Amino acid sequence: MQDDLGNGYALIICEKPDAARRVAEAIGETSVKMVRTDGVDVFRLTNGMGEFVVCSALGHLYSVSDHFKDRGVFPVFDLDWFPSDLLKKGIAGIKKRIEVIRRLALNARVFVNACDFDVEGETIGYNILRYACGGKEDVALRAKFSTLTNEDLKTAFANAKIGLGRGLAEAGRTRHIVDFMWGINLSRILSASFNVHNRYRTVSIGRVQGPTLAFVVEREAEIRTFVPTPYWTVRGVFAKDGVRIIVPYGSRVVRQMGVDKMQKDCEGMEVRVSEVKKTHFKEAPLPPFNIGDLQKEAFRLFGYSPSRTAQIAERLYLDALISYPRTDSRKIPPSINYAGILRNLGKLDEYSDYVNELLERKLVPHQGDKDDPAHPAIHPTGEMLRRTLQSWEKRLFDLIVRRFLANFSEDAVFERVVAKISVGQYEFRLSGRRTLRAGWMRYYRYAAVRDTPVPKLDEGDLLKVMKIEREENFEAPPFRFNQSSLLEKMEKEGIGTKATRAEIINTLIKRGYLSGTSLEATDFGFATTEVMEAYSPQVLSTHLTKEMEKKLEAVELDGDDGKKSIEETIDSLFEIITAMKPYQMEIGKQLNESLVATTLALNVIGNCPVCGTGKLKIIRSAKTHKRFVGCTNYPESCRASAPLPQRGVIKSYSKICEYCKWPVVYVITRRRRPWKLCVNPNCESKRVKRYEMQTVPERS
Amino acid sequence: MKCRLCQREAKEKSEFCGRHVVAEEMLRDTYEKWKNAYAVLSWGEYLDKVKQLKGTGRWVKEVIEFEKRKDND
Repeated sequence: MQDDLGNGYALIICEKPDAARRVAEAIGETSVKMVRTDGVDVFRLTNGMGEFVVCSALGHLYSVSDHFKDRGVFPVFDLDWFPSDLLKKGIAGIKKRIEVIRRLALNARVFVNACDFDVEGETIGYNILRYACGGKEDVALRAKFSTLTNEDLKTAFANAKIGLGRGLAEAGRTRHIVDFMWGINLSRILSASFNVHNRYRTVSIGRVQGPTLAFVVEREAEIRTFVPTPYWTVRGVFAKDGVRIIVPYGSRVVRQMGVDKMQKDCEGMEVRVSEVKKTHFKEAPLPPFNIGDLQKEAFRLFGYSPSRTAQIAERLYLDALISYPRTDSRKIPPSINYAGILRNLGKLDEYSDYVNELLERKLVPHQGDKDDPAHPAIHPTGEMLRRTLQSWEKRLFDLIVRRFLANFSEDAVFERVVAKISVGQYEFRLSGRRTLRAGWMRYYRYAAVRDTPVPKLDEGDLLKVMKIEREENFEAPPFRFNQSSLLEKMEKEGIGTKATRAEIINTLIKRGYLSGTSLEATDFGFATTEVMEAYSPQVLSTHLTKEMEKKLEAVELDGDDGKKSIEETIDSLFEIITAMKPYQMEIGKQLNESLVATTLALNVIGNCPVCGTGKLKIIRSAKTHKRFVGCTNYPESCRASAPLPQRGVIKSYSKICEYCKWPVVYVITRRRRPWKLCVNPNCESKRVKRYEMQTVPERS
Repeated sequence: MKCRLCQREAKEKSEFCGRHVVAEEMLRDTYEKWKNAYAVLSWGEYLDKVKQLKGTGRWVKEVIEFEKRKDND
């Protein structure tokens, strides 16, 4: 292929094929020619500056690993970078891609790294330049851009420099090595301990996984040991000129006798409104999105998991519709052409009215607190849609556009009314709010709040206490984390990066440590944390990982080679592994028992109504591979069993059938609404249904 | 010695493991708050009420069941 292309071209390396196409289209003055070699698309083009070839990676083409083929070896500290296809099965096309880039590099005159400008992108580009291009990492130019629009790309290539982003690459490579060392050594010793008992399973824990799991386990322990305490909420029913007004008592009452006394003291009294206070307050627009805020908001509004939001945002970025999403920034710098973006957004019907209003104003965006030197906050580019967006993409795009529009709008103004009614020693408070000016909330409808009007009351109005109402309540346990709040906690504690946090939560779920939408730690999750707590508590503490993050940040800023961080990691790990090794038998036993309990808990659908002591669980037949329900007391004392639908997902409903007392399950199948099923095949409810169906009158 | 409720290793001088010990402590500590709230409340009534509540933790409910069984025996 290099003969076709001739000599002396500039080789541009992008992170993904879609980005390569965008880059080629942006900088090519003549028509861009796509050449397909070994199934890899390469773009060839010329412009006034010469000839260019644009190729792309497919995420990480190189990954860190040890030199041992045996996965039971630990500790391992001698690591290297290998082509990713050698390490993980199922990664297609990596070998061919590396080979194509290697051949293209032979005749290239200039190299340009055009991967995403962040730690991961820089690591991807650096490794390709170093290993596939034969040590060109120090001479390659760096093109830095935050959107894939033609204008931004042209500017980035005109200003490409050598050495830009070198610190990011070092930090990225060090992070990969450090994380691999923690992950592989701890996971191998845990898995090996597990395997001592002739059971095989990958048990993983890592530098960020550990503290994240510990957050959920700690919260779960709080929930499981929670004892609610009673309290009473009290409301006064007042009458004013025959109109009932209900006013809550200012605070909770913790003694039943206190409520009794309040009732006795207040009922029938005539009182005057002691104070009515009206205040105005403003709410400034919410700051522009960074990736964490976007993930939280998409979870709150649409229920998207953080990793799904990151994927959708990445797709919108590759379509040049939004700026680079993996950013910490909540600021939109003035260098961005606000008016140009708004004018383009105005071409879309749903935003045109808003844009026309905004363009009449001076465009000063409301900025947030955080800054990211690499990229601005997530914002629309104003680029036109080239394809029909999927519904989930449309929702996220709309969210980003509206937040951007709202940023140029004015504060929302509200009126708060607070009326105080003193009945003897008791103070009742009525409060409400009214929107005076919706401001930015008109643009960002996702934040709109409902008005809570209060009845008209003036100071000195005479009221009669008709009744004191009470309600007995109990303190609620703390909330379980969901994916969004766990991500927020990780952010707050400063562990993980914007690129890795969502993936770490996914891994914890995949490994069976966490389950459910509101994340519940499983017995296996508990056992793993207990083992780590006993033998290497530092892996669960945020201290270790926070310290490491600080050091990696220093590598990023100073551009040193990260050797010190790696040496410290080796020292810590060596100590931990030495301490854990003699206890492998006990660790394995503990993990094994908890895994059995976790698997059982996941498959149990309820108590067995036949023997009364066993549990009914979902079992898969070794002979027919069909699933059915059987009692845990089989074969000793109970032979209860029942067939199950073979298609779809079966979930416990935590309720029993009112007819036969057998458990009821949820059956979830594709293209059908989930349905409830009593697992007892001889249940009376089914006979009733069959009878009803047989006796349905014919249509006239 | 094993925990009477979950077969995990029991804490020294206790019939429960660490998890159930904490649950039992929480149950006993909170009794004072309940007595203060209702003025008159026996330990048995307290256990019955707490067991029925949705927000009561799983390990606490296991301890209550154990306490009730012990009373019945």
